[in-house]
Amino acid sequence: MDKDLILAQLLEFGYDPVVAQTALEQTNWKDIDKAIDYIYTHFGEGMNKAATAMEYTQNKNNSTTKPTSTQAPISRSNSKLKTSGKRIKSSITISTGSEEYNSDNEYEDYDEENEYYQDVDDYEFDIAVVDAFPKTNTVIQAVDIVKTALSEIDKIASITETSPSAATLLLCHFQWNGNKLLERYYEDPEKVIAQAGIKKIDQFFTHQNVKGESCSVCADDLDSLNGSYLPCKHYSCNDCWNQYLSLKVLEGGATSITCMGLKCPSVIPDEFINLVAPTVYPKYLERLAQTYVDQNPNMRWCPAPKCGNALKADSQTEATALCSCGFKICFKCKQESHFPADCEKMKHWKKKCEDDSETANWISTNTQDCPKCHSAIEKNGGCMHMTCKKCKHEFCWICLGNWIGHSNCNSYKKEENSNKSESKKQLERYLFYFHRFNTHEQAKKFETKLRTAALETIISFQNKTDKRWIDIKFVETSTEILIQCRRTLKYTYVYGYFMEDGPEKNLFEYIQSDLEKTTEQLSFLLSQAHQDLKIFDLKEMTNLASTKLKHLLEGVEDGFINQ
Amino acid sequence: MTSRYAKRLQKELLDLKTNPPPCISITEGDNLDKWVIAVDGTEGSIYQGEHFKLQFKFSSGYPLDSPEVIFIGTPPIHPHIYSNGHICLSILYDNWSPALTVSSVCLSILSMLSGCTEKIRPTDDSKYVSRVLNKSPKEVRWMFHDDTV
Repeated sequence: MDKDLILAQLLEFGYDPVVAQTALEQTNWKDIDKAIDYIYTHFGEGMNKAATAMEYTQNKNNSTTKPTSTQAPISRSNSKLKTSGKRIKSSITISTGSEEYNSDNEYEDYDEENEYYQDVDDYEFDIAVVDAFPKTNTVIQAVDIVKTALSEIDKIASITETSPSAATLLLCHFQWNGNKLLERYYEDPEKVIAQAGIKKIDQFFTHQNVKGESCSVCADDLDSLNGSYLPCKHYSCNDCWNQYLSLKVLEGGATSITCMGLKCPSVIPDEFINLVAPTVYPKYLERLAQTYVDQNPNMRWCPAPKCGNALKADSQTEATALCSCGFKICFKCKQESHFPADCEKMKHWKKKCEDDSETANWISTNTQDCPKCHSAIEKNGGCMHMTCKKCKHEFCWICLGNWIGHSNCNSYKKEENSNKSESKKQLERYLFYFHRFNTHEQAKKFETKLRTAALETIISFQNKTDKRWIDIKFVETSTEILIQCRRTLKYTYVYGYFMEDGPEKNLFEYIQSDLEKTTEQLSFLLSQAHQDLKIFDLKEMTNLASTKLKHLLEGVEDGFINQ
Repeated sequence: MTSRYAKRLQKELLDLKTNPPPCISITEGDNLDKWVIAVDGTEGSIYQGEHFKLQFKFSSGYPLDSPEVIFIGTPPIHPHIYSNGHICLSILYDNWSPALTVSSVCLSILSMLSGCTEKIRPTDDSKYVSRVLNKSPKEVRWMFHDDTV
């Protein structure tokens, strides 16, 4: 693996750059796990602390340089830093789940890394990032879903005082709705048990001698400890059970696989599967966890490709959920979060897009002509400020107007006194909004690539001493906020399309245009970051964008005029 | 075919030869993959005196996988039997269980015949036959709606 990548990964885990570097050098850059082991054995619990690392390297190299002379400033600004550090955490922690712990650590560690905080004024500025989308959901990483499902089962098993196998079937019967299960269970446990088909669930027999019986499937004799059966007494040898179960699990029937017997209602308990077909069991658990997420009204899969995480939030109160991969979904329609447009509007919009897609696709193809010299231009980056390579004409990609004197192009201007037919006007109006919707979508796609670029930027700056680590890390925050802005802008055009004309809409479009401009500037700064990191400008613009985004969202929630 | 399933088929074959259920006899069983079984209309039923032939084809997955069962020659005229020999019977498809045997399948089909009171083809017979052509009935999605006959 690439050295930089390994290092970046370690940094992602929250290790200090110096510690990570040392560990990797000691383990010959081979394996990230080895490096982590190394950190644990040599730096112990306080592995994140730079001081430990420095001492360590100094001891190791017998270096004569004095230990860091920046000890004093700790006390100078420590108390202030502590509190502000907390505030950062609450405002810009972006991911949740297992990562949250790490990112918390990072910030707390910075409190102690005095040398980064010599410039307190600058530091004050760090805290102001407004989170326009406070998150309340939890993210269950793809690898932990089975574990989570199993702990849910254990919980129910201990409350109802049944075996895990029985609890599994109870939960499947109630579609993983634990509260409903318990409610019904306490009303009439016998009835619930009968309904879920788990009577005598725990009376099964595996690896038995069954004299005089032969396997109902392959006709082998069951006298060499190879017979297994359920309380319904349908005998079969372990091999045949194994084949049958793997067939059933492959078919997707993870929950309530019934006995092989003809029309036999006995449900096979998962403990039985574990004992008879241990090779099938992990697959079975996977399928079980899948139904756990599928059927749970408070859980959704992250729809981003190759993600596989599950998101958990209260579906009654939460409209959106943010995955640790950065994808934000609408909890109701399971698509990408489309705030400020609501699900109903999105449905109309999508239908409209399908109906008119032929024309729309034809009109907003990937290239546009330069308004001055008419050479075809393909846009391959995020910013809307275009400069024609040929004639050096500067223009806005959206409205194709001259960039000099360009102010806003986000509101559709009705052409007065035109002779165009009503339907033609309607189409034009739609295309106006569709074009902008689509342009932001395209831009967002490029900016998702910026996540990778942000990481590369971080790597390229990490060894340069003139930048503070927290500043370099800020590129990540900016990127996330930029993506949020783009996503919201995209859907504001759906929202705007369905909005009635009037002062409310005028104000909305003003704020929208304002956010659009800031977003463009932020996009520009970020696209330049790898060459020229203007950290102060970047922070200012990120804060500005985030605040404006928040204003827009608040306006949509509470109405613009009343503000 | 794997030997463990061969053992089960051999056992079934032996059972059918030595102790056949009434009105059922095996005519071709030399090849373990494909059997032909003669079914006679039971006494007192509307098929009394008629003789039919059932063909069983076993895949290597048998008995976890259901056998393909069709009438060959002239199939009986019955509301659940198509003129190409395909049989609409749930245990042959969705409700198949490895606990079922050739003999129990034959008995099910026989009882399906005996319970019938009127010789008619399924209502969608011509449509179905032209649609499935030479496909195996196992590749067809069956809807089972009538349990009376």
